[in-house]
Amino acid sequence: MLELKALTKRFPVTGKHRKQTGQTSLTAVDGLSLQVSGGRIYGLLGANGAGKTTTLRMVATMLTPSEGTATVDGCDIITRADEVRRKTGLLFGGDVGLYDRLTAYENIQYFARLNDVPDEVSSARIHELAEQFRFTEHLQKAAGKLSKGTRQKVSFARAIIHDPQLMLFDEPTLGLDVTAKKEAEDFILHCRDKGKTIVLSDHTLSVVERLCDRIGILGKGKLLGEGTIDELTRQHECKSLEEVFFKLAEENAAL
Amino acid sequence: MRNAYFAVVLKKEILDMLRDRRALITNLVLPLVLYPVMFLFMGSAVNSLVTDAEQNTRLAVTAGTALYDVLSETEGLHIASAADPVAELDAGRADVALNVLSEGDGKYSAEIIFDDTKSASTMSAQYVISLLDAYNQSAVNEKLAEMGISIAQLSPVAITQKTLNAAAGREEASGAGIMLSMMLPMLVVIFLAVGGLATAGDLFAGEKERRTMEPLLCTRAGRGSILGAKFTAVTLYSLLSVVATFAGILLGNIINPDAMGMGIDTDALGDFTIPPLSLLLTVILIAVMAMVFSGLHVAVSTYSRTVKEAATYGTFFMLVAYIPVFSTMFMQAGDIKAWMMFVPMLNVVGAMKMVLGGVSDIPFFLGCIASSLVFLALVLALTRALFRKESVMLRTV
Repeated sequence: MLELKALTKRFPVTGKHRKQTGQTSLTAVDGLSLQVSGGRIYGLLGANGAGKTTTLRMVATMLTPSEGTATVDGCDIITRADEVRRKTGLLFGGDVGLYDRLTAYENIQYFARLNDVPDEVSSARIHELAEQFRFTEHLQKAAGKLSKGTRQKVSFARAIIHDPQLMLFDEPTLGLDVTAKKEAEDFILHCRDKGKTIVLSDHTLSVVERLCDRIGILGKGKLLGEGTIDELTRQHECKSLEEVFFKLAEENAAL
Repeated sequence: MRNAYFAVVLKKEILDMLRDRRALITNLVLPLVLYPVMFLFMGSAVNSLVTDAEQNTRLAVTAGTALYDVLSETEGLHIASAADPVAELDAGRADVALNVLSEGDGKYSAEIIFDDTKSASTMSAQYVISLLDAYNQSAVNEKLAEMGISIAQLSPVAITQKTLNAAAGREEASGAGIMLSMMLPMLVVIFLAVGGLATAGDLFAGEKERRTMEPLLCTRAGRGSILGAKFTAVTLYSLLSVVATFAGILLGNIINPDAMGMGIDTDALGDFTIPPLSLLLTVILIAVMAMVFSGLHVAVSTYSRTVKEAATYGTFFMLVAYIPVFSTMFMQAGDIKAWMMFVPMLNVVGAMKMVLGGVSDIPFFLGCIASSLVFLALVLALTRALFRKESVMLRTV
């Protein structure tokens, strides 16, 4: 479903930082290659600055790779970006961006229209998603008046209103309370059960452990290790994912 | 750019703007209320100053002088004799002091003293001077009549003034048109600049700040459609704020027609009507300027990371744009040069002055519109480049 082929992203270094370090570019993602099968949840695990978000942004066609490429369901992210967008939904966690003066319904419908979903289809789907996420009573309220948890639910609905095959979730439970976190996790599992492919980026080990079928550990833009939790612990002779993570991080830092 | 996405984004932006109560009140409701109220007070304040001077001037004149007798018969003048008229003025018991220095044989030497920190005193002094001038004129006329001499005999050169238009038998530029050509371009530039600033900030830098830009860029709507629709929304809003301002001014003028003339006899300004072609040209020029300003605001906002940053940069560009407006404020239609038609902002200001001043020069207007469109195309090309630049679009605080 998703294949990354030596995906690389370098950002130019300018100004003071360039003068101080002499660096002309910063490699955020360094020759990343991996495959994610359909109907699976793939976890991208890494510390801040490991290249998780940059990878997701490239797959979502927001950033152009410096080298390498990726395909979503056989569509190249560079040459067939429009089709990739149709097949992909992206969600960022944390401080969720919604249009505060539009209602929850209008926020979702706006993105449905921008993804070519006819109004009659999107209307039924919005109500279906609202019921599923339990925010039906908030549909006609201005987004600016919604709680953080409800805003996150609305943004979930917005990200998948066009029923994408690939869902990219960047720290989707960040800042949510326990109940909202549980609902978000249940929803991700529900999407997987419906055959969706999910790439979940997070630096919370417990979230990744609970949800992901396979895990890729990133460090300084490189894939340091990959596999199921069992495979990773066996390969690196560790007792837990946490141990594997810190072992790989230490090895990577020493390089 | 696809029309369907363009329409979806534009519709959403208009809906969003119409729900922004603060912006609506500031840009649309306030001008509709503020100008009529301002005109009401402005007109009545000026009128009351003039009326007060004619009806209630308190004049202190040196006691025991013949000039006191001359002026004492004037209606509406509250005249009082005083040993020291200046002291009366200083104590606030008089508006003007007339200090008679010498008199005799029907001749007077006097000085008028007024308090230039008080409007009432300044207006009263003008009124007293006009009374004394009228007295002087009638005395001269009387003397000349006694001597059997007419004023014409005393003036070897008789002069009458004519404008070129009048001499050539063409229609004259009206006083009101000249006043309008000074005021209108200035008001248009100010309100177009202010009207689009906040909206552009919200639509581009605002999207980045509240993190809605990233999901938007992941939709199937191309960046061209998003940029085009947002630019159109900013232009429409700028134009709407100008329309609201003119509607407010018009309403104020209906409520108090004397306010525009600041108490001056507005009949003296002459009749003024804008011919349909000039009106059409003015509307086109305003629309072109709205697009240019919106293009600039959009470029600035696209580059900025936050609404605050966009407002700071936008204000700088706004102040730069004011330079051609204020530097040409007192220029008349005939002072506009061909080169001005190729300088952004200055060209539209100049062309508007020409239209309102009754000067029709089609090559000038075409040059103005063409150069504005070229400038607009450059600004939009820059914005488009910025819109496609990853480091700019994903730049956040």
